[in-house]
Amino acid sequence: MRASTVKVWELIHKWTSLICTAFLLMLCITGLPLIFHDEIDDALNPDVWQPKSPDATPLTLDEILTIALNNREGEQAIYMSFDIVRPVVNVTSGPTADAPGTKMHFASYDLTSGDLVPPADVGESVMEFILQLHTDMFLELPGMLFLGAMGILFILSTISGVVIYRQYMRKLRFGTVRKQKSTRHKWLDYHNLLGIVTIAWVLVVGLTGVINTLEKPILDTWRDNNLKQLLSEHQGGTIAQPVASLSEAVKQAKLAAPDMTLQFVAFPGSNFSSNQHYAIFLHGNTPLTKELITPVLVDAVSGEVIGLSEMPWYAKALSLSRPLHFGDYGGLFLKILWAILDVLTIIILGSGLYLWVQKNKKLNRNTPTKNIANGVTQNG
Amino acid sequence: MAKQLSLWQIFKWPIFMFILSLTGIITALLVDGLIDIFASLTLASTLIVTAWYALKQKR
Repeated sequence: MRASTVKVWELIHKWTSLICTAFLLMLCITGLPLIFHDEIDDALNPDVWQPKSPDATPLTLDEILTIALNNREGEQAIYMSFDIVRPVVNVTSGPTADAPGTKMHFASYDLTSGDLVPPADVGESVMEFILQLHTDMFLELPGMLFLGAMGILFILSTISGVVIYRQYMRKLRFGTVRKQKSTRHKWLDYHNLLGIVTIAWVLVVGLTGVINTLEKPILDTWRDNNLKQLLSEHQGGTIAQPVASLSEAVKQAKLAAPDMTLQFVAFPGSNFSSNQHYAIFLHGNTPLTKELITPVLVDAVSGEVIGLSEMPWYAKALSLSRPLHFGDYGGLFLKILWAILDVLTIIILGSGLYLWVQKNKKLNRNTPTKNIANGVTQNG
Repeated sequence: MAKQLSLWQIFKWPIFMFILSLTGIITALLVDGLIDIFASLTLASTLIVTAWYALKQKR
């Protein structure tokens, strides 16, 4: 490779890294507890709750809905979701079906008795704070897009790092760490070694992180292009009062999308449905397809299935990006590896910064000597 | 002066570990159960190799 080409790649590596390092350090540090969010939630909220009648026939979704709305007089159902492990149904309600998030009320019900389940939210505000900082730095969409741009710089920095790795390793065997030489040499070798072995993980987490920052535009595009197309033929003026049986609607949706599991229901008028339909979201049952959801529209008055819409490729990419980014899809062992790789990335970022500072110091030390040699004095 | 290494000599181990890591990351997404552990071990093997190289050299 020509010296001028190497210089260009070195400049790309230097500036892309310098611009994104502070934000990447924040992302790596806040990402650590997020990898273990399930374990932290479980530790802070030991599961002392038990279903009241574990052997009883579970209540129907219609019965749970009636109990929930009796508890919240004058409110309407907006969403219904389902606990994966416990026989618990969550009902979100509000003064109207299109009420903003601040006016929504969330309650959990025991599917075996209809009793309220106490919230398990110890430490939730701390985890929510960390997640928000990690996702958008409390700046919503602009913050997400900014972090996405930092992610792209990080990917560029990684790729340029691979190109200049060749220059540094021309005469060194793989894995060489020159501990007997200067501290700068030692950290340069650690930086190169850790950087090159973590590259696949760094690229996967970096790329999926960038895709995750596009969550809102992707979901909006999906809703506008695909779901609205399905809804437009059936979209009416006012929000319908759902009279069709919800349990029956879910049963029909499952028949329309066999081999899928119920994930959540959006009621007529809510953000994820039309004014006249239950939007019933189901997900697949294999390790891969459980991340992919299919909404089925069911008429909330007649109970008739209107149609279903499979996710477009970009929404599928977003769904698969979430687990690949947080590493929470392969058990505790994989999470521990994710955490180790996260810490190694912090070391790579820190050592990169150290090497840049040391190089600058060296340049500053050499400059006066050079200037004197060239006959330049401080006074000009 | 040390001998200059070829492109293959420089990148053969990084390429091998790249493939190994990616295989582990993707496999864990495609399967569940016991194979998850094997997928994780595939990813872990790159860390073990790194630790080996980082620690084996004399101070």
